[in-house]
Amino acid sequence: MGKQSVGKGLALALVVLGMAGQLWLAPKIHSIKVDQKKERIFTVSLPGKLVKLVALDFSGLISDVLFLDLAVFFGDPNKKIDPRFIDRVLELAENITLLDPRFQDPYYLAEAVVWESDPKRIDRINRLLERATRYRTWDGWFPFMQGFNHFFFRRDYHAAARSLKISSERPGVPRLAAGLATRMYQRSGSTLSAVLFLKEMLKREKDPERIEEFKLRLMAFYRLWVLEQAMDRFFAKYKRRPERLEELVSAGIIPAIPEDPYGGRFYIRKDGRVITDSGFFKSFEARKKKGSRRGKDGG
Amino acid sequence: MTVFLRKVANLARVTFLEGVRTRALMGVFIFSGLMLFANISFGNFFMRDIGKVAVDVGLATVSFAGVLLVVFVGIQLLARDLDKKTVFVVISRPVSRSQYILGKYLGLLLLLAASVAVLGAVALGSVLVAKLQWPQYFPPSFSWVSVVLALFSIFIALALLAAVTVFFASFTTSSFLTLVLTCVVYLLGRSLENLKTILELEGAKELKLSPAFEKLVSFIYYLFPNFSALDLSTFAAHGMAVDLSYLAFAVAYALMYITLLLAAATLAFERREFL
Repeated sequence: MGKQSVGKGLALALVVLGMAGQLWLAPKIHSIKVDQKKERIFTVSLPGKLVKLVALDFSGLISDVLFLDLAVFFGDPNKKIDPRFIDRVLELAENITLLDPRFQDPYYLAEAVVWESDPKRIDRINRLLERATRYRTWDGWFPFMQGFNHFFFRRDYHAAARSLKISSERPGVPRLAAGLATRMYQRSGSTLSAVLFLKEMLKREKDPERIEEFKLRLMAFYRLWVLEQAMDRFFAKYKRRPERLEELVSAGIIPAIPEDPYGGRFYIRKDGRVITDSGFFKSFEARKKKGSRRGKDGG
Repeated sequence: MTVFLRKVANLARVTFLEGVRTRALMGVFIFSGLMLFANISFGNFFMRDIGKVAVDVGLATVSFAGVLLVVFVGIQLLARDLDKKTVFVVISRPVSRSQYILGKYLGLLLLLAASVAVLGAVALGSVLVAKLQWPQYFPPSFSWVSVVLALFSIFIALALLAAVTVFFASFTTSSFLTLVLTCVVYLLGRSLENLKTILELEGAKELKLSPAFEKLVSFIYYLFPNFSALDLSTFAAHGMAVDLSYLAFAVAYALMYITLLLAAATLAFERREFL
């Protein structure tokens, strides 16, 4: 009898001890795991084809799980994107969309990351968007973005027109797409098109950070457009092109030279076109200084 | 004929009731219930394709639970009957071997149908809750019909898997062997389509695979049941309409295969001697 109660007491003590140990260790393990995640983003990054092979027919579900992993990494809205990880993000987006080529989220995330990092990766992101365009046959938004990238970063108006044409043929796309496509075909790049393009992007955007980004771009292009109009009026008045933007101010056409919201400076190039030395692109360092934040939601 | 059918029906009923009483069924249902409950909150973790994720999780849960049922409950109902010699009680009565096989299979099928119906309804419910929460993040062409058809095709795939179990149980001497063989067939049948597709891609030429290997893959492809043929989850997840003629072909394929397996199982079982 006595032995039995000792045994029971011991077992009870062990249960309590075990629970205490669990309560003590669980948060420790979690914090170690979180630290690990900071360094090595993803648990798996196998070749997409291999994953597809071992995914049985659950590749849709596995694409969700892999994307979740990516989202956890970006989950902290206060985190700045580390440029070292951009290529890994793209790689994972490519793999996830190989598993389920119709899954929207990885495309949006990849697009957002590239947009905010480095225009050199535009070709890569456009190849990815090409997949979205091919598989999401009902979605005009991805060819629209593709067209925007061609137009905005690569100045490839022909490719932009081609993408926009695909976009305009699909249901539920910006009404502007068709008009923009013709415009692209017609002439090489107009600032007004960029303004209209951006307005359309803004209308669809829900994420406050991206809205800020778009507004910045819209402001830059709008000011550029104002300057171009002023140049035309100057030409109409004096029958010659101004050499410096300051002449527009002294001629009383504009009150002041607008600032480039990207921190650059507008000037007149030798061929007479107004451009800015920021290239409408903020370097990663510049944004870091400003303390710009990025969120999980990129699209 | 009616006597034959009545005996089969009785066996099926007994098998079904025996299946309902197993603990494993409870476990599978608890797992699926939790999974589908969690499905309601998964939308919070995604950006736009919430509808797709909800449907993916719902369908995968039903499919996975079904496989667990076949592998654990199904094998318990069948192979263990032979393992533990409880089959003697049945075959010592005026029940033919083919009646036994058919009855067992139909009982298992009934259990699967009931389970898929219950789990499928819960899965549809979880998708509905997600849809009410985030209606704008569902594909504009989202179709309940596609989801229900996907559930139906999951049931057909499970019926095929159950036939595979019956086939192996009819001639193997241990339930463990049946379990392993069923799993092998399932894994192969689920990945062969992908393997064949990948081998047929342009890039596969760089792998310089031997023609013998490609022949082997083809051989296995024709020999093993193709479970991928019955996978409609992509259609359901992205709101794409299911091609009904394709579905008819896939179901016909599965029915043919089931018939083949059951006939073979009967033949093997007829020859089997119990000591």
